[in-house]
Amino acid sequence: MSARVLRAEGLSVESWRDTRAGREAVLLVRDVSLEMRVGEVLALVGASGSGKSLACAALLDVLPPGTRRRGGRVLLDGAETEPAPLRGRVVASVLQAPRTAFNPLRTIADHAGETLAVAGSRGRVGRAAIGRALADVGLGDDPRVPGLYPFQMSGGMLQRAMIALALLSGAPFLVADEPTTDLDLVAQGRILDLLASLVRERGLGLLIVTHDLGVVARLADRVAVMEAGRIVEAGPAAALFADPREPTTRALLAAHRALHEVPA
Amino acid sequence: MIPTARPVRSGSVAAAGILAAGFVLLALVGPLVVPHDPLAVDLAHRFEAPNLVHLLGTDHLGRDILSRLIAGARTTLGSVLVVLALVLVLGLSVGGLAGMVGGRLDAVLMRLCDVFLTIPTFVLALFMIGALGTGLVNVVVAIVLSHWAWYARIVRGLVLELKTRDYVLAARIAGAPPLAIFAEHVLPGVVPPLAALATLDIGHMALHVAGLSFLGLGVQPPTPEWGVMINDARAFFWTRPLLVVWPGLAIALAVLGFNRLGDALRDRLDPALVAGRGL
Repeated sequence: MSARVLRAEGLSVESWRDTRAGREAVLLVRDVSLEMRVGEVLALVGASGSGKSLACAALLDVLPPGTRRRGGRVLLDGAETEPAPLRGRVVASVLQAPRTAFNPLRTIADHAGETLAVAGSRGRVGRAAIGRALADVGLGDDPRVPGLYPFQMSGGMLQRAMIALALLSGAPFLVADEPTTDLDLVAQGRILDLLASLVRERGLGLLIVTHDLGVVARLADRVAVMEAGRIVEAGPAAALFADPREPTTRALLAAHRALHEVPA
Repeated sequence: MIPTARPVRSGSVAAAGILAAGFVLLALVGPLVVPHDPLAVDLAHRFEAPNLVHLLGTDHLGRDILSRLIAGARTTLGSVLVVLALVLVLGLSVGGLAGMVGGRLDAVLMRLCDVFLTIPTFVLALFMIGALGTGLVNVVVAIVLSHWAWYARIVRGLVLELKTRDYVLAARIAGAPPLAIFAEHVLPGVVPPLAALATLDIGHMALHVAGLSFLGLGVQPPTPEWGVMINDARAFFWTRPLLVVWPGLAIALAVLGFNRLGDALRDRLDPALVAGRGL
């Protein structure tokens, strides 16, 4: 837990299409900079397709096939670093769909073992750590949980288990890409509370990707708004809600209010 | 998907399983249970009809046919086992490498596969035997060379599909090394369809071994082998047709048993294929 600040500077992601004139690059993410600090929540918001997830993937260099990173660098406490060694050691991740993020042929304990292997601990110490991590996310009451297969668990339980794996890795930073999208409202609320408590109590640095401004209002210290591959507005969450400057931000806020506020 | 796939008829599957298991058992314990020495020539008792001493009779040199059939099971199935092991190792490593690494390596390895896929087993075997001489080892090598590419292709296809699963991405993001990802998340998805294919291929490969030996290219007399036995019996076909029937029946039953077993395994282990067949 030594690292304090993880900063991505000028991340760009491109795809390409073949035309008669040759290869034509298409920029999907342009010059995105993000700063994660321990104990703080940074929310990355924007409409679908604005490049939020790609920017996160670029941070860890796990871009999908057909895209590649172009430019940008990642700094850990000010020192430039390769993205690959960050995975699982400095940055843990929680994916959007818990149902598919677990191998159906492997139990929760198997998945935890894999995480521990990356962290370099096994055996009895590892088993105790698994128990603690599951208890931390509220899955500690049932001793059967480690032996369960993913299809024997609910979506909310799986998302908790995924967060437990993230805790197990001991990484100081957590990237959560729309962690509540696939869950019902009750489970959503619980997961968000869990994430908030982890940031408060453990000093985790959280980057939460979402298009739900309700989530932002509930959790975020700082917000970055993306539109068409770039960050159009960034700043403290309170300021953004009080005084949105960019049309994109205003549109998102308006859409949110139209959806969630009962007309007077 | 529409559940109209051909149902697994458990009765015939059980029969196929027993048949296949019986042949495997014979191959394993054969030398312990043969009633006579399969190589012992006894010219005083040539061409004996089935009787209580020689249950299936004797051949043109007075050798006990049942003993030779049992000993032949080990020759044929043993060489098939070696072929399968080599093919699986080659297929898994080449296909796994191509699928996991991708890019140029994938392209090069797959073109190599294409080259091998163009050469029919028998042509390759004839070439090998022409160049290196007859013998079981050359036959085994020829069958391996003409079959591994199928396995490599199938493994690569499965790996490419499994690689796109979210849990593989999750493992990558969690920092798991590629080899661990392959072993933990990809291999378990590759093995069942591959096992079904391998079982289906046992019969196929047994036919190759017997066929090449029948032509005099593989196992050499006097080693007991089903194809060799048919070739030996060919000269007496019109007067003693039973001499051809016994080894022929052994080959047919072995191929049938392993084929049905492989079919059933595929129905069980490859749900996508079962669903596809129903359409």
